[in-house]
Parts: sequence; structure tokens; C-alpha cells
Amino acid sequence: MNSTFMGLEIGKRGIQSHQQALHVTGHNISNAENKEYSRQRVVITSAEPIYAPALNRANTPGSMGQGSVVSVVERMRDHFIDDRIVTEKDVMGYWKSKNDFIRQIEGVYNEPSDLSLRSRLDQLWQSWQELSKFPQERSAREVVKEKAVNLSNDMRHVYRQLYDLQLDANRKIQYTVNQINMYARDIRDLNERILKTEAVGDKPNDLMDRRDALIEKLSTLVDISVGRSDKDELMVYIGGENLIQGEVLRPLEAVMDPDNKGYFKVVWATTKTDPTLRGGELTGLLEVRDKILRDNINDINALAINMMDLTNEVHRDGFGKTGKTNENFFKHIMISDSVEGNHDLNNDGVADVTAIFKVSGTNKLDGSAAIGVSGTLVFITNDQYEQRAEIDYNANDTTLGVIKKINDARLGVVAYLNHNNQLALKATIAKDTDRKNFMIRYLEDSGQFLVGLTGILKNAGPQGSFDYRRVDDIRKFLPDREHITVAPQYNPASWMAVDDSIMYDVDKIAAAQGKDVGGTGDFNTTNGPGDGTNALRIANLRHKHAMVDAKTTFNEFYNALVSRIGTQGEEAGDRIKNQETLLTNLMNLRESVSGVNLDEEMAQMVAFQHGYNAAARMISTFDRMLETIIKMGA
Amino acid sequence: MSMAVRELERVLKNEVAIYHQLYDCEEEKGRAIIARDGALIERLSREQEELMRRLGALERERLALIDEYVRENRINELPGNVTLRQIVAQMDEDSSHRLLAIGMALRSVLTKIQSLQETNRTLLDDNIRFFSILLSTLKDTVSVKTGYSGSGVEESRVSQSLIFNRRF
Repeated sequence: MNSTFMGLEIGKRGIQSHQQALHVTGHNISNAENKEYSRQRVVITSAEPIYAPALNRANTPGSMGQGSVVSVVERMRDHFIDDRIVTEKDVMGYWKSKNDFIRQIEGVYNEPSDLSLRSRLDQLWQSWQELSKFPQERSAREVVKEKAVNLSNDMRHVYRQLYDLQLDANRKIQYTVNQINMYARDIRDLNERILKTEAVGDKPNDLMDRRDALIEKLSTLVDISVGRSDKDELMVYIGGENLIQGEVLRPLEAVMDPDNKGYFKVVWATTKTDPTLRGGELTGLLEVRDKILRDNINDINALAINMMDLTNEVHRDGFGKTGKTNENFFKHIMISDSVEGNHDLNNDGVADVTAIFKVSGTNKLDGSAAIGVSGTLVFITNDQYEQRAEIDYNANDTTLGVIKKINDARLGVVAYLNHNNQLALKATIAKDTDRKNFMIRYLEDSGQFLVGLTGILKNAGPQGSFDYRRVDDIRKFLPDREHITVAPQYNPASWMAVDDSIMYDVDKIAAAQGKDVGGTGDFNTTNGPGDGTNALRIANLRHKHAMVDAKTTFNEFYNALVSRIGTQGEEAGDRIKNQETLLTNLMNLRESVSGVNLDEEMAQMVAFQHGYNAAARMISTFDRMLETIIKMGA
Repeated sequence: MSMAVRELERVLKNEVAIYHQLYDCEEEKGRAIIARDGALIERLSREQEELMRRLGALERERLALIDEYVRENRINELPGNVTLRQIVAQMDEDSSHRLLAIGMALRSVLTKIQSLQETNRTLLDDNIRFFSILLSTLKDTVSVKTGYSGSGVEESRVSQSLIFNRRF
């Protein structure tokens, strides 16, 4: 039966509903500037009416309404936009982390400036040129020494800075993994709280906002996708594998990788397997460390070792002021203590490879004449697969033609004719591991090109092949030790320096060329202190195609290196700008759904206030009615 | 340096300049999409059409010049197959550096335009999808537990648009 008190109850419910609505409006207004907040909306519905059909129902017509209740406080959110933001933020994170490092690498090269490596190189070539004109002047010799010292210092400095950046990227990888785990743990905890709150029929809107904000932060760090199909279990995937499944967390871990200089490798903490990483800051950092910085360090190493080796090659053939010959200009630190090049590559305490950087043939050649022999050269690729690669040559080929074939094959060995027109073979950067940089891996010739014609190998066929995986294999080469260079110590740019003997006595700089006295077939006597021909030959190295695959000069190689990082920087800058545009648009769209509009909230506030006042008036009215009834009985 | 090569340099420089204008238009288009300024997008599209027309004319000129160059230098290739590198390979160092620099600038601006076009396409896609979802939420039929049907009779399950009643 609907009593007089029912009116009081309806009024009370009206007050309660509007009071709650006002609280939500106030909550919205308070969070108007909170970027992580989603606008909330109160849904006021009518309470269950009386009476339900039954035999004992009151004999009153109609189904009587019982006022209002707040059925739900909704959160205004569009998951389409959320998912798009997650996608675009990981792209943004990826390019941002790359861009940060690329800008720093550009700073290392310090181009264009008078203190850059390019200027140091130019100054050194210029000083050799001057020495060739005035070989007897001590000052010219001092200038060569000083310019070479400056170049070496700068080379070491550039290497050090690049290496420091690599270490920094490595540290950031570990830090980022910790951050990912921290966010993932927070999301997992929120999942738990949200599930409990929903289980009792409430809507944990603010907790959901916090969770969405954490998911966005996580997406900047790593490429994630979010599974929302199960309302009880929010899932977060990395490369299709669960990072979070409701209340279960599968963290990542940064473990040291012995195959990659002990740098951190990212794995799933539970299974130690590799996750599939496609975007976000973490992928950007891994790429910066293992690709961009590795390439830059390797290129600087290649520049340093080729610069030192070619200068030494010519310098050793020349004569100092006092008639001394066969001296290095730059220091050469060998990878191994053994002069035979035997080296312990796998660090087990026993030498397991023969590490040879360069070998020059014994015979002088006419590069454009037909070689008159045919056969097949065999190499192995300088990658992890080490597959056999064959290059055929025939009688009509010229030496230069065969050199081109070897260089075009890009097998980690560069061929060229040295200043004495002898064939030289030297190793390049390895594709698999930096530990195998500048090591010739395999040489075999079925015919006489590398054997009788050029004088590099003693014998043809597999028995006469050089294989770096065997110790003491230096004996397969025909030339004496003077024409074979053992592989350099790791990272030659880090120890590049002028040889001590030159530092102590600049008269040992071999500016003069020699002559063959007595027909020994070798330059055995100096042309005298007034000769600057050898200095000129060293100065002319600046025009020699001495770098990668013998197609670029030192300066061209360095310019290409600097312009490559410049292009990478430009691309990263463009991509960031584009991502910012996309994210601005998505944020605007989100704001149109989830943002708090203060005008709208103020209008709502007034409406709810009026509703509240009216409901209060209802209670006073019923109160007066009750008073009337009470007085009737008095 | 032959006349054809000098002309080729001029044409390529003009092409680079027009591509830069196209890039600027594309950039402004992005801002117009975000501001939902349809009139501006229309005007920019017309400008781009005009720029494309001018590019078309320059391209025809470029092909004719390469044709002439191939004939002059007796290059054993079909005109359409001759690359800038082949032409550059036969030049003196100065000219080849200049032409290669123009080639690099052309490639760079084309890459930038391509990337920006991709961004604008995504921008449009995001907006279209957002409004499609919004409109379908407003227009599409939803089921409510109880209510009045179109005939005015109360029913236990009614299907109708969320905000627009279909018959009243």
C-alpha cells in the first residue's frame, strides 16, 4: 500500500539522486585539468515501481513509481581512440629514442668545423705534401708528426664518445626494461582492484582511468596491444605473448649476453626466451646500440686501421733521413702475442684461429694485361653462416677484372694493387661478430691466380688453402712475414697512435724512396735525405680508393659516414613531426569524448541543484500533509 | 657540359622546387584535417592539382632531354631505362657532383612527401572511423528492456534508435 510516508521516501530518493549527481559534477570540475581523467556521467533512472502482479496486491490502480535511483556512473571513453593512441605512441617512442642518440652521434663528428676528423685528415695529407717538397727540413717533419698525433687523438676521442654512447644505450635498455615491468606490475595491481570493485557491482571509473594512463605510458616504451574482449581480464601483449593477463604478470628481464660483448639482452623472465619487439623506445634503443652505433664504431675502426695500414705499407718501403727503412709510421698493435697470428678467439685459453688482416703478393703485376690462367677462387662469407663462395676467372680476364669480381662479391675481403703493383688482399668488418673484424677467413684457388701469378698462396687446391679456423695457417702464404699483417687488436680507432720511434725521432719519417743497388729486386739503398718521393706517395694516398671494397677514398668514406648519420637524423626528425601530428589529432578526438567541458558541467550543476531543491520541497509538502493528518486525530 | 645536360639540370631543379611546394601543401593539409577545415582542404587540393600539372610538363621535358642525350652520346639503352647515375658517370667531377646533389635532393623531398602523405591518410582514416563509430552509436538500433513500441503499446523488449525515435 502506498502510504503517506511513501511520498517522503520518494522525496528522499530525489534528494539522494541529485546529490550524487552533483558530487559527480563536482568530481568532473575538479579534474578538468587532469589529462588522464575521463568525464563521468550520472545515469538517473526510475526506481522499481509497485506493485508487482500478485493475489495480495493492493487494490490500487496503476503501477506506482517510487522515485529515482542512480543506476550507474558512466565513464565517457572511446576504446577505438585508446587503441590508436597506443599504436601511435609506440611508433613515437621508437623514433624519439633513435633521434636522441642520432643527434648525439652528429655532435660527436662535430661537422662542419675546423676540429673535425675531416679537417684533421686534410691537414695530415697537406703536411705530407709539404714534407715531400722540403724533406730535409726538421720543421716539416715535426708538422707531419703533430698532424698525425692530432688525427690519432681525435680518432681515439671519436671512438671513445661513440663507445660511451653505446654504453649509455645499453644502460637505458636495462632501465627501460625495469620501467616496463614497473608499469606492468601497476597495471596488474589495478586489474585486481578493478575486478574486485566490479564484482560488488560498482564502476571503478577512476581506477580505469589510471590503468589506461599506465597502458599509454607502457606503449611509449614497448610495442603492445591490448585485449579488452574479456570484461574480467584485461590483457596486454608484447608481440602476441602475454605481458599481463588479468591478475597474472609475465615480466621481462635484461640479461647479459656473452655473444654481444656482455650487453643486455631482453628476454621473458620466466622462460628466458626472446620476446618479439617491434616498436617503442626499447626497440629504438636496441637498434641504436646494435646497429647505428655498431656501424659507426666499425666504420671509424675501418677508417683507422686502413689509414694506419696503408700509411705503414708505403712508409716501410721508404727511408728516413738517417737511411733507416722498414719502420712503421703508425703503431700497429696485434690481436695476438704470436707473430704467426695465432689467437684465442673463444677465450678458452688456447689459440684456435690464425688472425691475418692483410697479405700482399710477391709478384709485380700489370693490372690491365690478360692473366692467362683460369680457375676458381674460393672464399667463405664473413657472416655467421660462413658459406663457401666461388669466383671463376679465365685466361682472358685481367688482374683488375679479377679484383673487381672479388670486391663486387663483398665477401669480407678487399683486393687491390698496392703501390708496388702487387696484389694485396685485406679483411673488412665482419657481418656476424665484431670479434672477427679484420680477419681474412678463407682463401683457396683451384688455379694459379693466387699462387704462381700473384704469389699469395704457396699451393693450389684445398690442401693449399688458408683457413682462419686452423692455427699456424700463416704458413700457407707464400710471402715472408714482412708482407703479412696480423689482425689488429680490437677497435683500432681506440689505440691509434704514431709509432714511438717516430715520436722520439722525426728523422725516422721515411720521406725518401730507395733504389735497387746490386739488382737484389728490392729497394735497398736510400735516395738520400733530399728525396721526398715517399712522402709524396703517402700524400697521394688521399686520392687512393683505399676503403670499403676499394671504391672510396678515406675522405669520401668519412663524408659518407657523416652524411649517413645526417640522413638518419633527418628521417627521425620527420617521423617525429608526423607522429606528433597524428597524436595531436587523436588527443583532440579523445578530448571531444572524454574531456571535461566546464560550461556543460556548470549547466548540469544548476539542473541538479534545481532537482535537489524541488525534491526537498516535496518532503516539506509531505511533512505538512502528515501534520494535517496528525492534527486531525488530536 | 652539353646543352642537354644543362637543360636537364634546370628541369630537375624546377622539379625539386615544385615538389617542395607540394610538401608545403601537404603539411598544411594535415593542419586543415586536424582543424576539420573542409574549405581549406579543397583549396589545397586544387593547388596540388595545379602543381601536379606543372610537374607533368616538366617530366615530359625531362624525358625529351634524356632522349636527346642518349642520341648525342650513343648510349646503348632505351631512353626510359637511362638512369641519372649513367648520365653522371660520363660527366666531369664538378657537373656530376652538382647533378648528383640535385638527384639526392629530389629523392629526399619525394621520401618526405611520401611519408607525409601516409600521415595525412592515417589522419583522415582516424577521423572517418571515429565519426563512423559515433554516428553508428547514435543511429543504430539498440535493444532496451522495456518501453513503448512504435504503436504506443508497452512491450517487454523494444528495439529502436538510441536517441532518435523513429515514429511519433
